[in-house]
Amino acid sequence: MSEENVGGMVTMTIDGRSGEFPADMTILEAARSMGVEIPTLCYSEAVSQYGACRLCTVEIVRRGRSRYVISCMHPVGPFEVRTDSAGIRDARRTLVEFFLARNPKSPELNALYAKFGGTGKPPYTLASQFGETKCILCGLCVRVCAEVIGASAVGFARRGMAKKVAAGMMRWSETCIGCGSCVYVCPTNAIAVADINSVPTGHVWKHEQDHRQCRTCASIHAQPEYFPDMQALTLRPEGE
Amino acid sequence: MDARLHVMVCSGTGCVSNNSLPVRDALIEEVAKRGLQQEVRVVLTGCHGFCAAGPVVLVQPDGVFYQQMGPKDVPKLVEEHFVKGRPYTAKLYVPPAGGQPIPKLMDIAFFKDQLLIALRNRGMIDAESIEDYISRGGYQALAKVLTSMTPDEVVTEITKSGLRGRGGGGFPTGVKWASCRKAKGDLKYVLCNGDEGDPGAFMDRSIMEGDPHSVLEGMCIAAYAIGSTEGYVYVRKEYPLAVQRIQIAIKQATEYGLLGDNILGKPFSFGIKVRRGGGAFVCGESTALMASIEGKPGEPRAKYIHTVEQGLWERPSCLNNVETFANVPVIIDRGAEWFASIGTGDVSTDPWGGSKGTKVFSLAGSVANTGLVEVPMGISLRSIIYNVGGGIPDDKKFKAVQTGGPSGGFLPESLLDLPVDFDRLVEAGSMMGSGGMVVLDEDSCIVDVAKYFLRFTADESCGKCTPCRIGNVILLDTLEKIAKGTATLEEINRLEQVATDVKQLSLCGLGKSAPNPVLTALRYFREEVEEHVREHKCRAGVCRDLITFSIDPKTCTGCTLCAKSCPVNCITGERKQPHVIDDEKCTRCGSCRTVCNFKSVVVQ
Repeated sequence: MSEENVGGMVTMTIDGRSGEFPADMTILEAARSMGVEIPTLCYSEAVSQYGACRLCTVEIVRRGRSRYVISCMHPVGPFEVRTDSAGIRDARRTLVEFFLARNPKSPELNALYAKFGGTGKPPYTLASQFGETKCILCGLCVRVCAEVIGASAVGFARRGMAKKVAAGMMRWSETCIGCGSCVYVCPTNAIAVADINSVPTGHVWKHEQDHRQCRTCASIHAQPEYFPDMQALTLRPEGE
Repeated sequence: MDARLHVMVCSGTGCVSNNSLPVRDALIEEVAKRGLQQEVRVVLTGCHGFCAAGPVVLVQPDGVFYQQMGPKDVPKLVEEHFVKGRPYTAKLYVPPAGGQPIPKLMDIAFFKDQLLIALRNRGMIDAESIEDYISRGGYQALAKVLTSMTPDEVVTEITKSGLRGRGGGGFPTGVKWASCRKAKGDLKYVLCNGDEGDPGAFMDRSIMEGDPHSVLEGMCIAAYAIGSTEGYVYVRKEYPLAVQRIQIAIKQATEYGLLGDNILGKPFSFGIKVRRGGGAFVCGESTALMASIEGKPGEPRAKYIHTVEQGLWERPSCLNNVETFANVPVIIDRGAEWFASIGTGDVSTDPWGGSKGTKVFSLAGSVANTGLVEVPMGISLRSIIYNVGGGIPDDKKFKAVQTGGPSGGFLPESLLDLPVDFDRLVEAGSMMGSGGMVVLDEDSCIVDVAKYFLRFTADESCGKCTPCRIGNVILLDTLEKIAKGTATLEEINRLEQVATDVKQLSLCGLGKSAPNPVLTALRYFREEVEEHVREHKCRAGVCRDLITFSIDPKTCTGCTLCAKSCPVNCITGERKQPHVIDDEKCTRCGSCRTVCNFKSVVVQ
């Protein structure tokens, strides 16, 4: 973003329709403000952008040159945006095919596959080599836990195909408060809440801690040591 | 008292592993024994580049080059050269084609066609001595910019020189400096990328180990130009000697007032710290490197807001590669015009208009003179391989040259006259990369080598973005099927599409370039790739599922060597009678072929 644009407005064309947008907006926000739908998997308004799933890729054309960028992070600019060209649809289908290679049964991904013109059996399978997993490593759970809840109970471990979301040292999480936010944001239902010792627990994080029901927020089962923090956040008097 | 002779013993990693340190010890001992300590100084230097000839010793000022030295050769050498004053012929370099031994370094073909800028002090100085560096003109450029140039003049000079990023991207250094100078921030950083991760590449390592001050001086000049006060050198932990030498150099430069507060008495302060990387390949990518310095996992991020504006700790950051920084002092010393006179194209109006100066390559694979070479831009690949590299040994046929490390591409014989130039290499489907150059002969299978490189990049993918994490594994999976002969032609066709998609959709340079080996294998060697599935044939005799080993009864002498070497005992035969391989049991390990002295083991 060049300095002159800060605080100013930018004229940008999306799928043939021109609009004026604040210079600090992303293409995705601009498109949604115009009612143009761009699919996403790792995007959420509630957290910072990560740019991993690549599904929101759009084509931008500037001075006759076209290139692919991800709309959730690329700022608006004086160029033309194509969100639904044949190339973009193919690219999105390819991405979903990649996801399906390890998550073949996902209803969410199969629906996207059909939406982008995929027919028949998806072409790739890596499930036999690397195992099936519902997790597509979008990182929404990691970000929501760190940025919204402030617990940072989970993070990424390892790299490449071995990468996964896990609690520290691949063990149980000592900081998970069992709030279920990760379950809520997960786009592929990869995280389930399990009932262990009669307390709801983020199953994936193998969380088996001493839980007490917090009277501040009633429905959350939290660890006793987090009560002071939660009280501070909710401004409730001690003992509540 | 100044010594009459300086004996430069290579302590680059290649020579050290070939036992150059005992040679140094023997030299010191022998020199002392003969009472020559006052006249002869034994110096441990960085890499000389000619690794194939190691351990190497250079005697200065005579410029006489000795190869494959052992401690046992030392007394003779001292006697002949140091006492009698004539070269010790037994250890002089002899060209692979035969002929007379060549005493002078500058007459050896490997060195003759090289032009040293980044490696200017190679084999000339003790890397741990700042005095040595200064005596070769070191820190003159820093003094020049601090006393007689404004920061803007420095940026203009670097831009005019046409210097482009030596880490692989080829971004004009002056343009980067100019935007970082313009960027607003309370604190700006100068970062040096020493996270050289390509298998077989050791250009940056050699500079950091052999001439660390050249990097520090370059960084210091950059800091002055962009207005920075803090710098980091990011080195991988696998380079402990480089880390150590850089740290020693920082300490010395600080003591000399060349780093720290009020450098050379001027109102300019700049300090450098070393940060060690854990050895993840992706941390050579600029944003992943910055994340790693910040103590976060080494994952790249989208660069729509450039790192020169928001880089390390979201402050303006200027990241250049080791070799780029090593070029900077020379450009300041000798001027942009001089630098721009070397190389291709014209950069006087467009900094992207050409490739200027030199490039260091680590020449490896099927080539006689493996080692580190610095050649002027514009030189042909043929000239590097056949003149500097001495051609392909054992009369083998050239197949391809792979430039740019694991994410570069294969270039066939028809492109051997291609000049070394950032843009020409990219047009041909490869890239300059940080300077790996692997020569392949007819015994290498293109599918097998592509598989090797892809396995590396797939393994080193950080796993953040989908196309790189999964797409590259799909490419690798297909290549493995091709090597087994079980892929279909349709899968080969789809390979091209997937490779293009991965290139286009990936987040960072690792994913964007990882498919290059696949794409160039298909572009230039499609027939060979398709042969694997169409005829179940691997013409190089490498892909195990497609080859059979047999023994030619006409040439087999029955020496029993093969039978003894076979790990699964599948070779039978009477002594002095032709032997036979049991194809059922054979694992195609190739040991029999390696040990056979009569070339009787045939691969089909």
